[in-house]
Amino acid sequence: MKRSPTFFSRLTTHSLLTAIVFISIFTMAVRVPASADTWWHLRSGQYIIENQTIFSADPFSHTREGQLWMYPKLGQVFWYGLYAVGGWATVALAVALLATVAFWLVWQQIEANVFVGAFSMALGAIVSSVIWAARPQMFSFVLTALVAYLLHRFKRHNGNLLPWIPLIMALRVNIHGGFAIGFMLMLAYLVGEVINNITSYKDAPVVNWGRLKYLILVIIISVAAATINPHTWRMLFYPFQTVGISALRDFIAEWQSPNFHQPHAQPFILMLLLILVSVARTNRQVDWTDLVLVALWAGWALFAARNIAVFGLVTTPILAGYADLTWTEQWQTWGYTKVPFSTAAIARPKSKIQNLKSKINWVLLTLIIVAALIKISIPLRSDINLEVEQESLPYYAVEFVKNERPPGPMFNSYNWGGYLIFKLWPDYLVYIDGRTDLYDDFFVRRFLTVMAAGDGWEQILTDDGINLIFIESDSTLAKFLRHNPAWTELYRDKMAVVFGRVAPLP
Amino acid sequence: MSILPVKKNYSGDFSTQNLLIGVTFIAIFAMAARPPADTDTWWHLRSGQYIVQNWTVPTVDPFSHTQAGQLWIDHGWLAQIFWYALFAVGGWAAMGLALAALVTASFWFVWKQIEANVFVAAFAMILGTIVSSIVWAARPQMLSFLLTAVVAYLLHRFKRHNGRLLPWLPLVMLLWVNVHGGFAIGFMLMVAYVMGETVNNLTHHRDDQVVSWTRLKHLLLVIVVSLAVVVVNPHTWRMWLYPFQTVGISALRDFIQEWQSPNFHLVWMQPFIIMLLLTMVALARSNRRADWTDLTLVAMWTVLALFAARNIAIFGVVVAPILARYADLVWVKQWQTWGYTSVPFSTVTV
Repeated sequence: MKRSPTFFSRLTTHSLLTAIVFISIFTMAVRVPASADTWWHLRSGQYIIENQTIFSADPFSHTREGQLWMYPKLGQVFWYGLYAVGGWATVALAVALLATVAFWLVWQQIEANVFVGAFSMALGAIVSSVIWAARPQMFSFVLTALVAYLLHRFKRHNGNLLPWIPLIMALRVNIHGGFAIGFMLMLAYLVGEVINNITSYKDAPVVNWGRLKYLILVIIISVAAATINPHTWRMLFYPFQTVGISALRDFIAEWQSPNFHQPHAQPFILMLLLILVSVARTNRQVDWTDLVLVALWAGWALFAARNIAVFGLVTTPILAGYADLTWTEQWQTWGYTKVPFSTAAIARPKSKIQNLKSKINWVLLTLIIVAALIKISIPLRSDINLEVEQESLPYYAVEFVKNERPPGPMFNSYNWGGYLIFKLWPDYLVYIDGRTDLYDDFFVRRFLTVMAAGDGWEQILTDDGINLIFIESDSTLAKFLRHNPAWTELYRDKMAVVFGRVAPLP
Repeated sequence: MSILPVKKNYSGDFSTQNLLIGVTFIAIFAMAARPPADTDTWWHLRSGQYIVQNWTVPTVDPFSHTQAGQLWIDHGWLAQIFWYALFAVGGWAAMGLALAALVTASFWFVWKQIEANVFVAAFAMILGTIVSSIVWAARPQMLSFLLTAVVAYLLHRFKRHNGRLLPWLPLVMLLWVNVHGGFAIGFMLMVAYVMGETVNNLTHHRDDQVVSWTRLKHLLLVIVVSLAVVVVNPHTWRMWLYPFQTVGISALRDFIQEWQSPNFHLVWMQPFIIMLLLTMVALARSNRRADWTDLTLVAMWTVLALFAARNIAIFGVVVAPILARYADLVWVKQWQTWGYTSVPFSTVTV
């Protein structure tokens, strides 16, 4: 009996390339998983597990202590659970797994030859990798890909999976404040399909008016589902409140417009331009939903650098689809009937050469897996994680405070607030940290006045009862404090400095 | 069936179209008539005064005590004389009017490149004007702004109308290198055309006028001649290196706002996003393959604008005719899709 070829008996170039893409994404995503915000998420998750309660009053800062803190907390429990079980290695693997799952959902939306698809996936992954870290937004990332996939199925394959969306939104609203992204995707589809219908668009499947009503119904039910959380209807306003904090937009890098002088922001330009060229060079009119999605997320990405990640995720299938069309049309213009690298060109009958190629592919895949394992093993090591922590965070200054226990309350750098919550709470409560939704505009600007040693900075510190200051060594405030007789320098290294009040306030 | 945009002759009766053209240019002039001084205007005026009074272009710095006597490439010497003369003769009013006239003249050259119905053209012109208005001030770079539009116009004529105006380009570059260090923009436009037309030829692009290989050689010759003539300035060959030296100053990129990436939280930066996205939509919906020169120009100035906010102004000038051309095609195609044989507001023949 003749056996049909299986994945293991015959590894085609197509399959090899697919494997390489996913191995690359997973490998790229295995990194030292802690970002500045990871620390307070872990502490919050720990607090919930240890106290068996989803708290809503802030326990971590002395400036907002006891006040309402609405942040969704399910994601924090997950991250802390992983951290408690397997440390940073488990957390890092989970980040990589989530990134890979998200791009598996993207892959499912791609309708292009495998080479164009793989290139688009790799570019999309690089573009969106700017936010990959152990934070609840990684779940938002996966759920964005999932909602995009369901909407894609709904539009292009008459899929009937839309009833899952309200359930996803109910989950998402309890994991991360970025649930608004789901609504934006649905509205983009709604707007795009309305225009497709009005403009009598015929070059791609269009959702007819009858099915559009169904989508509207799903959006309405999703809004209702988003109230299923500890803060009920208030969460519906949460995204607007966060985006509305102008100090956030002015001073926090990820909420600012991207700085394209930094290399990690530049792949976004490349992707945007490739999309522009692809949609411009195809011989057919582009689907309005695709245009609305690209325009929406390009616009948002230019407003706030953090949105670049969603741009990468949402526009990868669009880039692949139109790049493939452009590729095919170009070869046809040159008079070729057979298009290189197209799916049809790859699917050749089995032959001796094919068998040899299969063996070479296996060797290549083995080498790639070995290289990936070597790369992956590095960020999983606890000594490497400690090394990164010591190099990028005020590890030694924290050790000093832990050992010497100078009197608080503490005024601290915004960037280190989360780390200090993880390391020093409950002995010390922070002044401010990365929980941007907790601190209002007035408070953040007051904080910045002190950091810049602006008018009245000493009075603010006195009014807030501050006895301990934990800030960057090269900050403006540090330079002023060194010459201020009311303060004494307790500790200093290249990164951090700790000042204590000479005569502590009661 | 191909759709070939044809520019209509708007002269004759005072029609709605002519009224719209009049309104567009009056609006641009009125928008550009503003207090002309920005922070750099002042030292340009002083420098112009120095040149007029001493009949010499300074090659060493006379104005600071930290760099006194050291080499200073005063790249905008001719423009500084221009602005100072205006200031001396008519004060700020003359400068304000000159600024408005320069902007309007620039957009007249943009208008001459537009092949679209007058409503789409007026919209693209106004949007381009708003986008580029962020750099308007009494500085030598306003002459760069005008010369950008002139070079773009000459290249447009060369490509789309078999124009024979290329020999003017070296003369324009000769003037440009003596009025502002931004003369590199002229070379970038020429290189964009060479690249775009090369790819057009390689990809057998047929939907637009394509510059043949033979005519491309003419353009390459013009670029070489232009490179040679830019040494005709008080600082001779050093001006070749000047643009690279300026862009290479990292402190400039780190601390001077106009050399940084645009901050789109500022309202006056946002029209750029609208223009970029509208251009993308127009290119995508035009139902034909876009010309590679158009794509190269849009891509080049998008990248440069995202790297340094000051380049947004050039994006507005260079991209406005491209936006208008493809938006007009989209407009026509859409009415055809709806089954209309007559397209409202259109000057396009089918």
